Amino acid sequence: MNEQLPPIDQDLRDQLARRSGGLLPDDLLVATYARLDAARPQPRRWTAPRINRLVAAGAACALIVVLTAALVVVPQFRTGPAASGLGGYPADRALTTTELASVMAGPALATNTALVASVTIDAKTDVCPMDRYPTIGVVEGMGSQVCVMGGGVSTYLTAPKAAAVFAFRYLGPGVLGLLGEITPASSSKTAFRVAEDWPLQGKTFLVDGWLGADALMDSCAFVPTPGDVLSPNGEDCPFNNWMSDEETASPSDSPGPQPKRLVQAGGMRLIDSIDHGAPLHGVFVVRTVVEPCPSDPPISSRGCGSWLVLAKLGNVSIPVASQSPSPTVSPPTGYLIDRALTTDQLGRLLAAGSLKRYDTVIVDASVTLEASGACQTPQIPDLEFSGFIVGVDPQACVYAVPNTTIQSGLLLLRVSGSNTLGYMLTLPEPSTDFTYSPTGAWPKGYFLVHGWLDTDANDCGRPGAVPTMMGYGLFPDGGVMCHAALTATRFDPTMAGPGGPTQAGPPRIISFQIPSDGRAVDDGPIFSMPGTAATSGSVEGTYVVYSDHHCSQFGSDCEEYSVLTRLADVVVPGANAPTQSTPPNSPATPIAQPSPSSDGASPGLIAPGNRPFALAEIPALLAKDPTHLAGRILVIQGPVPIGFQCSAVGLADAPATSGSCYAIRLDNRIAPDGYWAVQVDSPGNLTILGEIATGKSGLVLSLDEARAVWNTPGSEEALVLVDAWIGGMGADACDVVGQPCYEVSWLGSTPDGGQWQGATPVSGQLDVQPGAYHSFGAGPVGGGPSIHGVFLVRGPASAAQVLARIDAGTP
Amino acid sequence: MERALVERARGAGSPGAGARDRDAFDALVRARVDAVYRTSLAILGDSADAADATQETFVSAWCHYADLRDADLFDAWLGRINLNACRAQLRRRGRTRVREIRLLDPLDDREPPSPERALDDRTADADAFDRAFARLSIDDRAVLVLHHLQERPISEIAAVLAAPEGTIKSRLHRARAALESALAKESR
Repeated sequence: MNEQLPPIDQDLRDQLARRSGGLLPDDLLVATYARLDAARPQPRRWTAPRINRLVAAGAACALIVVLTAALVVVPQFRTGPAASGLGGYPADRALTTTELASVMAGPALATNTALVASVTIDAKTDVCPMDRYPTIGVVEGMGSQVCVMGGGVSTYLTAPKAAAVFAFRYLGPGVLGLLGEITPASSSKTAFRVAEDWPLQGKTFLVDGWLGADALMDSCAFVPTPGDVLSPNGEDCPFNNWMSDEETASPSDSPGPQPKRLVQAGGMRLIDSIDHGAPLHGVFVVRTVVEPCPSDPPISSRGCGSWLVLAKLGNVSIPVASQSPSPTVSPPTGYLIDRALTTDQLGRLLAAGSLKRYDTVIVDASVTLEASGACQTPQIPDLEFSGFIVGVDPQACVYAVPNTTIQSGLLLLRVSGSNTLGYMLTLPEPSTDFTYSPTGAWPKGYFLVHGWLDTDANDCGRPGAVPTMMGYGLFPDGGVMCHAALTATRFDPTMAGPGGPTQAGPPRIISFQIPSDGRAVDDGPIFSMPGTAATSGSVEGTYVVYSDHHCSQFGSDCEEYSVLTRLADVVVPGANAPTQSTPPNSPATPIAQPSPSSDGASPGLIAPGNRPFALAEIPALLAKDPTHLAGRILVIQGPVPIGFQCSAVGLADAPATSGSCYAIRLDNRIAPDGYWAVQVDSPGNLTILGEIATGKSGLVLSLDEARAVWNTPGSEEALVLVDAWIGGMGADACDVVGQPCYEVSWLGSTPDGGQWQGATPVSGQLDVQPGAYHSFGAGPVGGGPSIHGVFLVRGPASAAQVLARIDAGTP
Repeated sequence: MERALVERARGAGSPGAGARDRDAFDALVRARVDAVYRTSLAILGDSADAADATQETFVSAWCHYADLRDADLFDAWLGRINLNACRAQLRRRGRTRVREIRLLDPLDDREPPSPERALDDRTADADAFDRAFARLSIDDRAVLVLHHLQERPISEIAAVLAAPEGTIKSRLHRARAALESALAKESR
């Protein structure tokens, strides 16, 4: 029947049948239908004309695709060159690209200011990481990068570039939130009047008119809330909001010439601080939406249409001084994601001890062959082909496998010990960009791809072989083979399509071998790649890929690729800003994955008394440390704006890289109110790791309180600070030099919080990732006495990860 | 009939072409919910997780219906989505870390076999199998379920796993070997 495949194993079949047996859950079908019904716009109460049920249901999934026609250039309200010094926007038209660039380069606008601009958005979703919203792209023609985030109906562009009139909310310096693409009233004007026919469902448009409200006598079941600034709620009980072309409108059902049109504006009023007093004139961003009808039961799939007011356009003055945009902040420094290291940079990294064992780097260098024995170390036996890299100080040995000749050029090297590196291969000189895009054409041979690799360990669930890797081989012995997707954006396992995520271009079968080189994080099946966190799932980075062999899929030819390794995220001490522009397929912000398994991780810092650092304390804190806290984690109090600088804390006169002050940048995100863990990536550049959850004890919790946080729905993977004892015990070859150590680790509420007892927690012990004990507790490799401290830990409780020990620091 | 339902669900081939037909999709769901649930259950081993993955499968399919290019490949396409939903479900649940320490029972060899003992053995076998199966990757689990339980043809397995047909056989061997290895580890 299926002759190409092995015969059916009856025992295995019986076991699988047992696993999948039993009754179908009674409510599964009903619950599935309910989920399908619920995949619709947010409910509200007010109704307008009824809309066909099918249209309503179809709208459920069309929510995320609203910019399909974005390549069509919408005529502007009244096109014409911007007058120099134009102020008082909105006058009568959308901002031009140049004007928007001036606005964005000028003084910061008030947060959430709404504006309309005729611009082109380049669909780059791998830049501008932001927890709050997904990235849609960047605005073309801006002096410094302006990111567009989506949060309402707009979460991505369906075309590589979209040129149109868009409505935005200003979220912060360099960041705009997209309200929608504006449907114009006609070929000659953008904004509608109230009395005109407004666009149909799903469209976003401008209305120039009066917004008023009539108070009702209703009793309200709950207090209206604003909702998200990019997708506000409409509820405004006990008011009926209306729009009209006249300040005093007649009722909507009266035959007068200026009827009022009932709209939903509750959330917008809260966000834009518009009270219910006198009617207010302005240009409003409105969207036609479909929602459940007010009198229908919750399971009804009928839809009713209504108009949701998203925002009132703000008054934006365009700076007069400079119409030519200029960057306001320096680009990130020191991140070598777009080019090879120079020998000088490699020397600085080695001298600073910034490279960890098994880190992989690319160095543009040549190697002098030395006599046998020149580079022998306890870890690396003498090999015939070894030498020193020319021009690297301190002297760095390079080893090659016996049958390989070390070459000059772009050398891919793996760190195998102190100032010793293993030669892996020589990469060909890139013809254009340093890295290839996951969705573009790929060459033969070895090359670099910048993207997201799904490294979920559950996809690699074969037990690993005994580790024998010594750090210099091209293909390490042992390890596990995994299959995954390398994508241009974060892997979304819920999306359909070949290999999981929807991906443009030909299907690519990616496999990668995870070397068994000492990153065992669990019993057998789970390993992590150097530079990636075991639980991180899809991991962004620059990967060394090679075309493996030709294959056939669904009758079509294809190429099979393999990932050899991931380049280390390195920060060169004292590196200057890159002199070349970032390639289009590289992220504008550096990669900064926490490396929980890194040996000897420096502790993070919290202010004395377990209080978070205030914004104003950070420059002094950085200046005080000789390494400027590179790689360290800080606990800070939000809100923290993007790009806060010395000038913001009264140190404007100091040079940006002097010993007393740093121009501090946050990674294109805004940390609002709350407590935040941020990592110092390079001098003056901070990356948000996440918000820190609090408990009854405040910022620093007991283990039980941490568990309570993780047991709260929605907070399963929250970051917490835990006051606990970290313990560890070696389970295998921890005492063999050069061999990985499988060191089980745990947090306990007492110093004798129990030894590791397998699946059964003892005395409230919380299992954390192996190696955490010596990495973060500073104890000996392989375990030892428990060590007390405050630890930054990420949930869930079933797979808790210690990210750092947090010590008190004095600014 | 089935093809017509699939086409209707995406708003094609009906008098009101363009409007998606939820009733048609509901009929597709009704006909497949049991199979999708059982596949999820075989892969995930937990009824609540399987129910979640089942719901997620159909919601995702409905929301990404435009991605379905060939109505004849609906089941393979749904199978891929189901696999992704199972993968996502595992991620949401977090990894279950298998850390069993088996205690040696010195009386094992001296106990005579009995009916109760046989039942215990079967239960122990099932537990060991489930623990071993949990050690496998989702893809390994899936390929074993699709072949050994559902006896799907190689072309369907390849379509669900989005892999070339030529590699399915090797994947089956590899998955089987991984299972044997995991079982051996469990029986230690």
